[in-house]
Amino acid sequence: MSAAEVVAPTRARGAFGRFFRSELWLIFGRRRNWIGGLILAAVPILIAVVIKASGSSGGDTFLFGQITQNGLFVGLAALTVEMPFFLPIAVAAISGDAVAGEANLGTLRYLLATPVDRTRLVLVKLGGIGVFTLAATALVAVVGAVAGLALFGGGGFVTLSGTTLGFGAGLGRLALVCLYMTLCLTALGAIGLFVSTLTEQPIAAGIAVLGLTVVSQILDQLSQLSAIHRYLPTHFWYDYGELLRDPLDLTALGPGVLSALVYVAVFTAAAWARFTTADVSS
Amino acid sequence: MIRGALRWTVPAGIGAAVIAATLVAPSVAAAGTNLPALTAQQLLTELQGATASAVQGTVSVEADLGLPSLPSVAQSGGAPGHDAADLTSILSGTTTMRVWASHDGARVAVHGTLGETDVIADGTQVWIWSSADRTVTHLVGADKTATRDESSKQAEQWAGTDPRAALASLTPDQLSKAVLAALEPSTTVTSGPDVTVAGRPAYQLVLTPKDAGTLVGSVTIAIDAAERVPTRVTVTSTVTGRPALTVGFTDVSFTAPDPSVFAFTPPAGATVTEKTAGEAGASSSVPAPGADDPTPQVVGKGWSSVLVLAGVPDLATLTGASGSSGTPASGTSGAGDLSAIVAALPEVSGSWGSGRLLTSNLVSALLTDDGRVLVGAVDAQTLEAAAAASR
Repeated sequence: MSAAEVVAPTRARGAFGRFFRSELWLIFGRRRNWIGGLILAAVPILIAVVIKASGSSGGDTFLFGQITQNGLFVGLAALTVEMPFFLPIAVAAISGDAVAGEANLGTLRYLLATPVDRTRLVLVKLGGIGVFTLAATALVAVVGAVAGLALFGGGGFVTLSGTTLGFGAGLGRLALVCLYMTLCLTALGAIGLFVSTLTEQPIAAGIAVLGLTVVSQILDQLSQLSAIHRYLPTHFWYDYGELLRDPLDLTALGPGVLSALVYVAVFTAAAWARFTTADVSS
Repeated sequence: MIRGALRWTVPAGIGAAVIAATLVAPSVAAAGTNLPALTAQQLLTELQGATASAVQGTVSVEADLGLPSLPSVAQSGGAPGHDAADLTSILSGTTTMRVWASHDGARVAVHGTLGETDVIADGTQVWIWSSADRTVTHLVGADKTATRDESSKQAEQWAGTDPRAALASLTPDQLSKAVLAALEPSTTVTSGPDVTVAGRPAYQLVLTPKDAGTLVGSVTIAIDAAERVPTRVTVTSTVTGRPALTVGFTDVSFTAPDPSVFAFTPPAGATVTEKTAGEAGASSSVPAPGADDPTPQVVGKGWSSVLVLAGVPDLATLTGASGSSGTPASGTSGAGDLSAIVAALPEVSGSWGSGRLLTSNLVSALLTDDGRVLVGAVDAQTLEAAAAASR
């Protein structure tokens, strides 16, 4: 066995890469996740088709109103519609499944017998959640942008400030919105990862995370609780509007980025503390 | 490698450290100022020696006016994804604005969650953009050949007549100037403890009304130590004992902004309303009811004085008139809200007649059925007494 111990460090990086790839395969290879993706992608198509069919100027809000001017706004409008609930459902399901799902199926036992270091497993699961979140927001944005550009074309990109940007700059703003939402949802995913280490029921973990999202958004609406608003995980989610102003002021996103990073750090550490000390192995 | 239950100290430690940092940081920053002590008189002189000719930064407006939950105010509470950049949103909660000003022009951008209202003046014209309904109001001089100076004066006048443009007067600079102009012997003026505003050391000037009849507890003006410009104004209420209105920079720079921020071209698809100087005055959104103009009259003195506008038609007419002479915007904002607000106010009556009463932590207003509007930083009883006195 001494030979294996000697080669273990040099193999570690390759093993980590393989482990991460297998985790991505686990997420992106599942049929139920593909169906979830189809639901996410249906929203921007629905928005684009309905607005095109009705022939109206879009809607009351700025994002919907701009759709007929520039198809990229279908992506932005779809992200806005899906951010409160649809995207959190997807993240809650995936992150709740991360550890509890494997424990429930009994595959976690085999994974740990391989053996896989438990710290590494937590990091790989977090990485998988991050990649999934990016894929989910990008899916909504890209499907929306393609559908919108096909039906409405791409004119100037009007900012919230009333100025008009070029198409390339508008595309850049859409990408920034995706990245910001990815970070916010990854923070939610980190919470889900922690909850997932507490139970062997992936459904329960997912519902708990979703419940937390909804409760957090409700508390955020109560002005009497304004003192604690900035500590709520969802409080800065809608700050992506700052990315649609001109001139662009990235410092306005500082609190949101900081909040998300702190949530990721705290709950990944909590998941690590739970998973490496408790006997989660069945 | 730490073992066992000790590992829980890692997440707990990160969380506790961050929460502690957010709670402690403001008080540490405030303790860092090291300014020479100045009397109130010296501070007032400092104010007049302001040197800044340009400013750009972020202004935060925090309002705790305790207004009743009026239709429009409740509506602008802001569900996620709701456009909440209209005027009523300033009256409750926290509003963020970005301001730019230099010799090239001035611009104020009022931020909503997913909306923005901009007022942009470049010295010859004023643009008002509202993202919520995608409308643009363009004000230009009646005399197109007017010199730059004349038309910029006109632009300033319109800024005073159009309620949305009047938003521009909410910068700390202008607000405190207005307060100082109202200074009377009825006020105790002192210098307060030094503070840090927008990361810069600042003096504080505290105005305390001697009059007990007013709702204004005190007005505190923070004056930037380096630039001698007001950077924050706080008005406390005697009702709550807390600040009812705070307007201050959270981030400020006294360098000239890029002139391009004052350039504006109406975006495609926007509804553009063109106005010239004469028109703007006549069709100003302030209701100009009936043939006889309201005659302002002041009852009482000092901080507890009450402004009485007589000759305003009765409430039914007011709501009707304002409904028909609405703003160019669709019926969801402006005039539509006004009638709804008036209708939602509680009815009051007394020896002076009857009417509707609006109370808040800072200002009260009484709209009587016989066509008077009484406004003052006083409580309801004082307003009703003034209504009886001004009959």
